[in-house]
Amino acid sequence: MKITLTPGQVEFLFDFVRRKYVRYYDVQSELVDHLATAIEERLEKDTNADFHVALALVYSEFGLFGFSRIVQERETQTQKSSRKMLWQQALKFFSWPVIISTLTLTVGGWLILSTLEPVLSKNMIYFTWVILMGWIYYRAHILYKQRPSKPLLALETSRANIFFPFFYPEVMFVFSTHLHLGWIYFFLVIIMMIRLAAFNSWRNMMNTSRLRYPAAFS
Amino acid sequence: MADAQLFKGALIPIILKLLQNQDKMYGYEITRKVKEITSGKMNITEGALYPALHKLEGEGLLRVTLVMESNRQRKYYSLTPNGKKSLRYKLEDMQAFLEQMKQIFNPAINLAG
Repeated sequence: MKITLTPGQVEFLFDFVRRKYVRYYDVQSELVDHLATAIEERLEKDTNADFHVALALVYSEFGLFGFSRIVQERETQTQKSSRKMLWQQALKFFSWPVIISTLTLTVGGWLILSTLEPVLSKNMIYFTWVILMGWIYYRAHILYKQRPSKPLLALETSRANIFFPFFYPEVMFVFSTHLHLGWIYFFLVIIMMIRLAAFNSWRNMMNTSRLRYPAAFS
Repeated sequence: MADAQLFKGALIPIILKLLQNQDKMYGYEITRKVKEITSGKMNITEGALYPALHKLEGEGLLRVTLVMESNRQRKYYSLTPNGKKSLRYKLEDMQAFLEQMKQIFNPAINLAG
């Protein structure tokens, strides 16, 4: 006889997985499906078997460390994929149609700055940096408000990239008094590109997650 | 039950080979299939299977499709073109490894030695 777990039992499994320190919905849902399928199979073989006893037996098959190794490996792989996505986004700035506008803006900006008084051009760089950072973080804040009600590992890892690879060193660097202004300007452009790429990859991940895990957003 | 240590190194080629034959599979299905093929002599533990699947997914060898089935979401894995290519290399490696093992454990060689 074909047995399908009730929605209440599936919800119990989600709760069970959460209690075993699996925080993210995308990891939980795969484990819940595994547990549910294995329990259903046991209940089909023995119709008198108890759901909770079957769950204990199925969970014991995950071994001594339970879900911890699975979660750990998933986190490692998600971080790797997320970095890969970030660099793929960053590389888009160097694709042909974009590279011309990036170069024009960068060189044009520097040509304008180099005609100004050094103090003024330095202040202009600080001002632009603050404005651009503010703009990126404002957009990030708007996107953050659209986050799912159930946390998703892929999405949170991708969001963390906004602060990657450095934030405080960046501030120290931009306000450095020892470096030539040209270097500060050049690295500022690179850092802004990375920030923008991180934002874009997070936004893409948000769209993908919405399609993949609609239940997490409800 | 086969020696788990012997089985460990073959886990990834086994997953790739099963996915080549089945097109797409979910985690639990893979564990069942291995049990079924080997008449219960080999058992992929869940603690080994999912880290391996996630690693292969991260390396771009597997693609994932999510489907609503019964009252829950099911995650299906299938081979990407890179996964198919990797399987070919892994099967060649496996074949070479088995040949070497045969040479080492072949009684004729032992007798000759």
